[in-house]
Amino acid sequence: MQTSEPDVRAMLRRHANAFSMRPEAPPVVERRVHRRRSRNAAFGAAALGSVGLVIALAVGVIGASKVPGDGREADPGVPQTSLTLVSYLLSDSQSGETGGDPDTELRDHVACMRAHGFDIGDPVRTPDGWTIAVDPSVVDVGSNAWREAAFVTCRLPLPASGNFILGLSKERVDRFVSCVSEHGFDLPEPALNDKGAYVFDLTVTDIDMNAPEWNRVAFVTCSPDVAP
Amino acid sequence: MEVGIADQRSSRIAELYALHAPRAGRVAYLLTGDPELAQDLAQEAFVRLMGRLGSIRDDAVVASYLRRSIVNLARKHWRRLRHERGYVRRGGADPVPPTDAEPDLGGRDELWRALGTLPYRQRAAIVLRFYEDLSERETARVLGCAVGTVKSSVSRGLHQMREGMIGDADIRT
Repeated sequence: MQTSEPDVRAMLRRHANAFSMRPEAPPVVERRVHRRRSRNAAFGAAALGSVGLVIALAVGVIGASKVPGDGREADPGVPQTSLTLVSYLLSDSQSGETGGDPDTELRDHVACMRAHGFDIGDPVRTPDGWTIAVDPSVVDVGSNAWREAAFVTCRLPLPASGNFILGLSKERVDRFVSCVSEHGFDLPEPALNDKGAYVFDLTVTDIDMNAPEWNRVAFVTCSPDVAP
Repeated sequence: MEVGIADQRSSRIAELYALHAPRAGRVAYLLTGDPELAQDLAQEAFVRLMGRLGSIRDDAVVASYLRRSIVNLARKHWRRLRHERGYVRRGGADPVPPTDAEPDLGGRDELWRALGTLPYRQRAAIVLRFYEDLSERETARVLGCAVGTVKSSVSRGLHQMREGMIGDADIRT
């Protein structure tokens, strides 16, 4: 029997052609599509204001050794005095906002963190997003307890973009990808953005960025600063 | 007016389904070997796609999105199946037998059966490369791995198919 690459191709075509599926969409599919669209439309409107904040939080905290604003890696031995929440998808100039109070979600986040014993500062508007001041002598941002509170218990709503961004070296990104994979979350190949950060498009995966399981694995278990 | 808009949307859904779902189903079938599951995966991928259609309009992008979604959904199924088999083995029972619900092609296609014995990544790499005709780079993007991993997955997969086949086949790459 000849089983060269053309044979494999022919075998795949043969079996694919033997599979039949009606081209008419079953009513249940149409109903599910309409339900999903309604839900997405409602969520999109609610989440618009916090798009940039959540994404940036992922960079600011997982990439805690990153110098805010310039894309360089800082000396890991230098304590960070603030977490910078930078908007990548909905920058201030894009949103047309000139300042003002933080979104309700951000305010709720801070209140929740304080209720859990983490004395963080009020959100402050910056040219590229928001900053929450954190005093490292008061709050251990490397601790699992802080990460659990920040990203699971008091987490902000998910970004509508579905992007997950890591401002880390390739080696640490690879380590992170392996870790989350071991915990059941397979990430797609990341793209590099213009700030040198690795961007994962989670819309092509089954990962629900709102799910506590994902946030716990991503921000607590596999956080590069605490992973084994 | 609202009825008109709803009808228009339903018509677009039906049109896109007819255009893309059967092909997505074929890919799902090659990845799982189970026609009923393949149909479920294709429908699930389609529903997910349509939920985002406002930002996806190009036919090529639709096909690409469905392909990636199918690959991820099938991987999820395989992972669950692997866990179930592991659980059964630990319990001392027989492993779950592979599915037998496949189109009747005479029951003598050893190559097809050999494909069914491959680990998921190898099987997916072979399907994407040899059925979907994707390049190694495109395949790597869909699978979320390095190009080198695709190369080794295809090579090992073909090798394992040869080893697993009844009879002394000769696979050339």
